Amino acid sequence: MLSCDEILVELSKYLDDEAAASLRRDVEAHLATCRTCSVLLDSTRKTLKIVTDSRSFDLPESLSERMIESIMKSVQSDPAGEK
Amino acid sequence: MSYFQEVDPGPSFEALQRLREGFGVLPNLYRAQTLLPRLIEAETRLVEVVLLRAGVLTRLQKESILLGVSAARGNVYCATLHGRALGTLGMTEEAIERLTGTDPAAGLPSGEAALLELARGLIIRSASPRLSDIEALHAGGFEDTAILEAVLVTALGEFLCVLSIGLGVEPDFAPRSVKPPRRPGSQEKAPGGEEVGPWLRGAGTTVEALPPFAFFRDRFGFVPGLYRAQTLLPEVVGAEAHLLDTVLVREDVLARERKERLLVAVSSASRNAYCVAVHSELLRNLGADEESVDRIAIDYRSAGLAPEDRALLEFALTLTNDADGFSRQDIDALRREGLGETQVLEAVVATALTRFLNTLQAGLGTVPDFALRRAVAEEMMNRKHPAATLTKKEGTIRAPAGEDEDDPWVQRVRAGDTQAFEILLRRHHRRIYRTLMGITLNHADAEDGAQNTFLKAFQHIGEFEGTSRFTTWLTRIAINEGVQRLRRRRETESLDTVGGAGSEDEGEFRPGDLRDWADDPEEQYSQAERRALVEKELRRLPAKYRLTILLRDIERLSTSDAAAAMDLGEATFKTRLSRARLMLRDALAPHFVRRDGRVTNA
Repeated sequence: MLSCDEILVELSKYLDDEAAASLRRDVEAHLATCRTCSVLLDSTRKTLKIVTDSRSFDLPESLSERMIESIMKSVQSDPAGEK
Repeated sequence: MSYFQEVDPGPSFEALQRLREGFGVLPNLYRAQTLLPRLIEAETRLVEVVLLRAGVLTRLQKESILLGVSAARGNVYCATLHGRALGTLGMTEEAIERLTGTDPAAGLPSGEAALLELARGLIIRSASPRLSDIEALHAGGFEDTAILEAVLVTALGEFLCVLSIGLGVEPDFAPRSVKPPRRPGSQEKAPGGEEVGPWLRGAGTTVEALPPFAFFRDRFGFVPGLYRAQTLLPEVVGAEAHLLDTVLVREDVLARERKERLLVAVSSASRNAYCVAVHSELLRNLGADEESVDRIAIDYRSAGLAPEDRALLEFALTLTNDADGFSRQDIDALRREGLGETQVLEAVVATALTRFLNTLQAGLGTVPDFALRRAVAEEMMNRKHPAATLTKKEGTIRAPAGEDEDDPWVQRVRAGDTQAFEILLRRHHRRIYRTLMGITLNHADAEDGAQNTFLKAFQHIGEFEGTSRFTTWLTRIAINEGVQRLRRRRETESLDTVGGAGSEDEGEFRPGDLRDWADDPEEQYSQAERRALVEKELRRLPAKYRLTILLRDIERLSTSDAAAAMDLGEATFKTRLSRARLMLRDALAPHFVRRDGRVTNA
């Protein structure tokens, strides 16, 4: 049986579906009996969904073309590019 | 003659005259839309710039593509119309019949055969062209403008086919028989696979001033990449903007929101992730909440729509997926839900327009303007095509592993093609900006840092050996750039552990808040509020933890790519990621815990 500490270590592997079948079974067996870890796992999964969909740090759309234009300008005038 | 009443739009309506001149006859397809002359006018403009007006391709080449599309779709109305046009242009009956047969490319010069295959691939398999297809066209003497025209003509062919089915029009001449080709089974994987475009050049970088872009900025709030990809033909972009304005934006018949829902549902059924992402964004901008927008993309029946709105989507999906089964009964079903004749007519045209955009996007292979929300992306990945008449590949959803889709462009840049660098730049600039924001937390640093990152990548692309993916290499440059900027700002953070093998000896991390979270925690806040909350808490995390979350959970890099970008072993990366996620969970918990005191049966 895994301990709660071990669950914390394996948490990401489990959430990312990267856990081998045996580990997955062990984690699920632990979750069935441990309320603390169940809450942690459930809330971490919800955290990931919120974070993934949050569009955090997105480039403002109005700046996107300006950035492309300015980078292409510097690339085109770059002497190192004349290979 | 069709499902719709024909009325006389009056002598001042000159679009019909232009069509009559262009086709040598006024096609029934347009007679059937006289209840809403503005639709005819906008469609005429598109037909003129794509088909009737002289372009790089000849009318004969374009009509050949259209006949090939009609045959691939088994569409008698359109095959009759385009077969007649080819006869008028001097093509022999034998050659016309060959185009509708089982091996239409037989006997054609290799360039023209490649053109026809491109069109048929798009229609039959919805397969985006591969770089090798484009190269074959270049070799056959077709430049990017010609290829863009061919994709546009193919999309127009799809548009006309869907229209003819939805309007129920009879052929204008003695009907031409067509034998539709065998459709690939739903399990059959379309070729093309992991490669994604765009393969065609835009007209350059200074296209912001293109007049039709004003429409997209005003009405969409941004200019989707799909339209930027067509700047070689500005008049076409203008006609498309006008058609979108007329069919989608105007609200005198059907409300905009109902039509945007239709675009999302039809694009989703066509497994066109790009169009789903754009029109989901537009729906959200109209005030629809995220969950309901997602539901429309995933399964509109569960979206809690009013019966008449559900019926509208059902109608559009039948028209999209079941060309042979669609009949007057489908029109009547919609009328029974209380929709008027002009509303049904507009729904037909909106569905045809969606398929035009889907086909165009698949042909141009533009990269998404927005990431699909995770739930929708996963659903679309798993989706089998409903009642498959057409088998769709995965659209623009990026494959998690496999070949590096940037490689063809990297090779071109290495060979001295500076313009090819713009493609790489367009694909990755948002990602690189976010990565730099995640490290420096400062817009000016992120913007300058992105500039330096791409310039360095360009200068050193000869040293990129292809042992990692191009994105990983690029991200690594960006991380170095960001760390140097932090150093210059003399931040006190443990910079040496942002990337590289830092120690993980800060002791155990103990999660604090162990209260249950709400069932749908995100529903308590708006999108903007959630973004503000997540950004605020990410800012408080130490940089090295923030970066793991950013690369893995926001950029969605694979564990091995993210670890490689941070110069960490996978095991170390995973340990750090677990801790980072738990820290962020703790920080967000007070905002998302269950308020009703119930206990989750986890």
